[in-house]
Amino acid sequence: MKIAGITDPVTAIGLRLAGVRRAYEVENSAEAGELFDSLIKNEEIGIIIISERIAQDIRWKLDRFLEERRGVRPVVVEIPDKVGPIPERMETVRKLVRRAIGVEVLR
Amino acid sequence: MNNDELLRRQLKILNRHLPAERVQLSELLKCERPRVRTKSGETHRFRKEELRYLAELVPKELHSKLRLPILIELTPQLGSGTAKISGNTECAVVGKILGIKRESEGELVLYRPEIRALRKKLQTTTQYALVAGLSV
Amino acid sequence: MASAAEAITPTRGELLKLARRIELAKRGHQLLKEKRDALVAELFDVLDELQDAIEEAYKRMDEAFKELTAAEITMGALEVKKAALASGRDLEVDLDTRYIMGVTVPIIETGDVRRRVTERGYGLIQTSSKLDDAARKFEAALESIIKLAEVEETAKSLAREVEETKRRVNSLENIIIPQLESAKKYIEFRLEELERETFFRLKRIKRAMV
Repeated sequence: MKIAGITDPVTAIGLRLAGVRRAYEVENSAEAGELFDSLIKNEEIGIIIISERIAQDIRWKLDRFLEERRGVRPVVVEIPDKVGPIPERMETVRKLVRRAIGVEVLR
Repeated sequence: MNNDELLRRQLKILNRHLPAERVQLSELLKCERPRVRTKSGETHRFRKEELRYLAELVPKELHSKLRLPILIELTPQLGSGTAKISGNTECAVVGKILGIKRESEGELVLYRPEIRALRKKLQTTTQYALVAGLSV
Repeated sequence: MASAAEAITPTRGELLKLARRIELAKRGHQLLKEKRDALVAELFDVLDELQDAIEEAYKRMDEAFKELTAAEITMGALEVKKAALASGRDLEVDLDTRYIMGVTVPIIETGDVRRRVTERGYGLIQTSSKLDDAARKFEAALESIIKLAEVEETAKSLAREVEETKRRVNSLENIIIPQLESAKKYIEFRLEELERETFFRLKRIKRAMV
């Protein structure tokens, strides 16, 4: 299977240098959403790498997808852009863990 | 339906992820994509890195004796969090990894911290099984 | 079921049936507790891995972006972009599933993410070594991003299953088993009462007959 990226232009260059040919740059959240929809339908795509700030813009879409996904494909992972990580990054994981364990366990 | 039957059903559901058949290490080492079928018909994939680790740990002549995944049989009757490993080769391998030597008659009893240490080393080549004694 | 207690006919047979159901519920509870405990231990270990994976991936991304900026300064942004477009291979990843207890989680195996300079595809002459540094850093970052993808999805799936298993354990512990036990007590009480009544009735009959 292949990797695809939904990122800003700078990150797309980086991913291409790393050997991800399908590193797509998007301009706005509408474009990001459309691209995401088409990538999840593509059975060739095993991993979708998405810039955090773009992920925030289409959060509802990501959440719904992960909720409804059968099986594990595609795996979705969020990465920081050139400006650096966003503070909300860990919130989704934290929420799940808090619900599961009942206490804060992440460093 | 009696209690044993009902309990058996529950166990079956809880153990759906167990392999339909365990596969020899020697066979798995030859595979491009080493995996087993689960009882529910899904795929359980082994990490090659772990298989290579086991291949070095286990003398070559035992590669065909060791069947994977190794089952960590959680046995609440022995006490909560206690598990059993069965089979001479399996016990020898697990004993070697954990640095313990107390198996008897092809069985090795493990306690919680040991299970955790084992699971850290062998994430894909061990699998939990739930075992319950039937009929009181 | 508390209201169902009244619907239960207080007979020896019912009492036996209830005793069996309680026994079964307790055994089921014990099994689910084992499952829950094992899953929680797994979740804790995965969370450790997750935090390491995040730190590693973020550090490497940061380093890679810095190298990229350096390359752009030496070569010009346009040249870097051209080289990036030329360097695309379509890296193959092998996405499969594995099981932790009953939980399906992804497992990702890749060939070598890191390449030799000559494998990167862009021409060597017009590019600077700075670009190679950037490419190397992004390959290293990609490697840890793939690891992060696997670990984070695993943590999320485990957390969901822990939550669900806890819910079932709690409902057995706090609702189902107590309800069955109070139904059992109710029948025992009614049976005793009936026995007492019968006893006195018999006594009365005996006395009347004397």
